[in-house]
Amino acid sequence: MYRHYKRKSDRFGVTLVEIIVASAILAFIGGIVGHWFFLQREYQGRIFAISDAQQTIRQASWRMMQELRTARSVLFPRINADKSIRSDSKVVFKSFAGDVICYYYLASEKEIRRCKIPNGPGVPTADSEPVARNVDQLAFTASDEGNRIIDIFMEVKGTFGLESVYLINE
Amino acid sequence: MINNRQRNNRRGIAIVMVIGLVAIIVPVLYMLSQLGTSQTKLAFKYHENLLTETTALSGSNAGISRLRGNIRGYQSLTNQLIGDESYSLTLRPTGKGFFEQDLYYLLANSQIKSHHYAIMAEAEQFNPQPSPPVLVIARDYWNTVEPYEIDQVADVLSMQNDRGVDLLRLDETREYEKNATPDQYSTELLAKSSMLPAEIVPDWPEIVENLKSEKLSM
Repeated sequence: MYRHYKRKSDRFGVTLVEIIVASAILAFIGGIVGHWFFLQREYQGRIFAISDAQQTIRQASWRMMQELRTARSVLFPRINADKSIRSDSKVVFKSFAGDVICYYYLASEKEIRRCKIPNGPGVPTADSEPVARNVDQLAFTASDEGNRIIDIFMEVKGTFGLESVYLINE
Repeated sequence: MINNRQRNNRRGIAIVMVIGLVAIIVPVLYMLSQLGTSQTKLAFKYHENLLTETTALSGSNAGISRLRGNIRGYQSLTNQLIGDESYSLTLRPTGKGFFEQDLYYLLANSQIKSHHYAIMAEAEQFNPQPSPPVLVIARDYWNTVEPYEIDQVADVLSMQNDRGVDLLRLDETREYEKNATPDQYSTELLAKSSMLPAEIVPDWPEIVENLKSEKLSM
């Protein structure tokens, strides 16, 4: 009878002592893993912040590049009279449709904004939504003699981005 | 010697530990995998955007090269490879110009996953004098990220219409430039200064001067 009872309990259960010993070991391992997990979460948070910054830079660059690529001409900034490069926090160009488009940096709000100025009669209109938020620095650089290449430099939370766009339309 | 009771205790501890470790390790591994995949996804998203654009631009250049090589008539080439990515190219004749040059719509597009990029331009292909390469003038490049299929007539018509709206506006602005005297033109533009965002105002006179210097006349 006793033998039969013991065999059954060996197969299907654990004792309180076993659980207590295992829990103690698990608590120790859990403590180490938990600490490591916490460090990883912090690291993950930092990586995500960098990713978000990069994504902001990419999205803003992409949007501006799409419009700049098919633009007719860059009106501002243009290279200096002595042919040296020139940078500014805004770029103004004549769009595919011939209107004047401006992307500019609003330092007080840390935003990039877009404004459309009709090339002819009409009132300038600024887009209601910014092109990008949380931008710490923005610079457009004209570097070629024909004023057809614009470099876009951006800084978002310590992350930097640099893109170049060439105007394909005359 | 280990008796049966000790062996059973160890087995019990092992079972509880295995269950416990799985409960700890599985979420950790899941977290780590998410960390990796989300980073990769973000990086690839932009990479695909750029790659789509670059591939379509290559397709457009390939179209110009074909026209320079004296290819004439309709051509629809789908899935032309550039590296690992493919683009489609369509050369659609639209008539003849003043100098008997052939006129084309030059359409190229590329798609990578959900990213699309299509580019449409007009191209003038002159007769070979005396032999190829042929003079080709491409102009009015227009781009879109809408998922157009450039070998489908309906889609090409839609692209023509979308691009046509911008070209109509271009005609309007050009007409305005031609009809206004340089002084009228610059005066009207300078008058907008008070309505501009403060960031643009200081450089507006220089911008207007550049616009004036490029103003169309007749």
